[in-house]
Amino acid sequence: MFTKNFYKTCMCDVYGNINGQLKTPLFKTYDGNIVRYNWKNSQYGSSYAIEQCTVTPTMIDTQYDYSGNISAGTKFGMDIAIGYDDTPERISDYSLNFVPLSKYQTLSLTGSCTSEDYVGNQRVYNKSIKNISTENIVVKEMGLMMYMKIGKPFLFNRKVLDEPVVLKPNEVANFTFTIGGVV
Amino acid sequence: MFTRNFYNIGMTDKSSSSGGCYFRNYRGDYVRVNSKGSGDANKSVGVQMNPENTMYDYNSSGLQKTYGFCDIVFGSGTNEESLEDCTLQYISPSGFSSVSIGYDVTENGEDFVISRYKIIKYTGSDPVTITEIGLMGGVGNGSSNYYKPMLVYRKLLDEPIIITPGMTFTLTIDVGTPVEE
Repeated sequence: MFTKNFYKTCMCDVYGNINGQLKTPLFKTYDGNIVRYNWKNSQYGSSYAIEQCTVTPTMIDTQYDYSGNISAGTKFGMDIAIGYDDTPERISDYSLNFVPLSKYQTLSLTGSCTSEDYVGNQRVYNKSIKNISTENIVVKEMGLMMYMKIGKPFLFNRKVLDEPVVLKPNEVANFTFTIGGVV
Repeated sequence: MFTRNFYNIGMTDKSSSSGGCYFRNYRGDYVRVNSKGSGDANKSVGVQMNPENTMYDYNSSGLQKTYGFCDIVFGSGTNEESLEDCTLQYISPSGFSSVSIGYDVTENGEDFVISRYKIIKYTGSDPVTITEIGLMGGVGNGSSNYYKPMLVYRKLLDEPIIITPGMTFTLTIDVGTPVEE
């Protein structure tokens, strides 16, 4: 289910006001903080932060531990997070009960735009992970995370799995997250 | 209600050409947005805060605006609101003039509402009945400076507004974060 953060990306004035005079949406980051992103971050020259506030097939090439404190990043793109909970999806979701990064290793992470259709537009993301712990990992939820080059990531879409995925030690599993055709 | 164009803003990659999306402009034509073109094309879909302080003729097929366009429009259609709405039954702007425009933002925690308004004066000779209003954003093709308005929100009025000659009236559209169902 798309979260409120998704709707805020729809409402962003993508032309924006580079002087920051206009109000921008307040986003809720993965750790529950409410933040306002600046339209323009001079650190990136001519880049507008808001251009990065967008769904993209680009994936984050660094592994982040959502169960810990992620520093404000400089990366831009998407990631798939995994979690333990199966509480029903809600539009106000902003976090998962994240599986600690110490328990798994990301083997691959890909994203693609599979349709640009007016009605059936679609983006597909894949993450392959390996259980590097000595215990089973029971994955019941996935989260599609967005990174905007500045600040911390936020939850864009949360999905409770129809069936939990159980990874035994050293086992590999592939998680696919598909979004699109919003309503 | 929000139209499909609105949701497609959130599904469009504004940073590269790899994740475009189709929209329907104010005429109903399909327009592909390739977000990363030249120059400012990477801002080719969205909605500004302030409506335009001008009256445009949406019955004209040649309306072109810059990126980040925003306007409040009105019409005489009576169809129920639909996700697939992309046009109104536009009323001619003849006799109408924009007096002022603006917006207010109300925030409550992570939630917010943007209230956009347009104050309009009517100096035509015959009464006009408004039954629907809409919020226009801008959509363009990233490979050129070719931008057209697109309907992102349409509201069928509970009661028609009858505009009489000499009347000044305000059109308001509030949009905000969705509430939990």
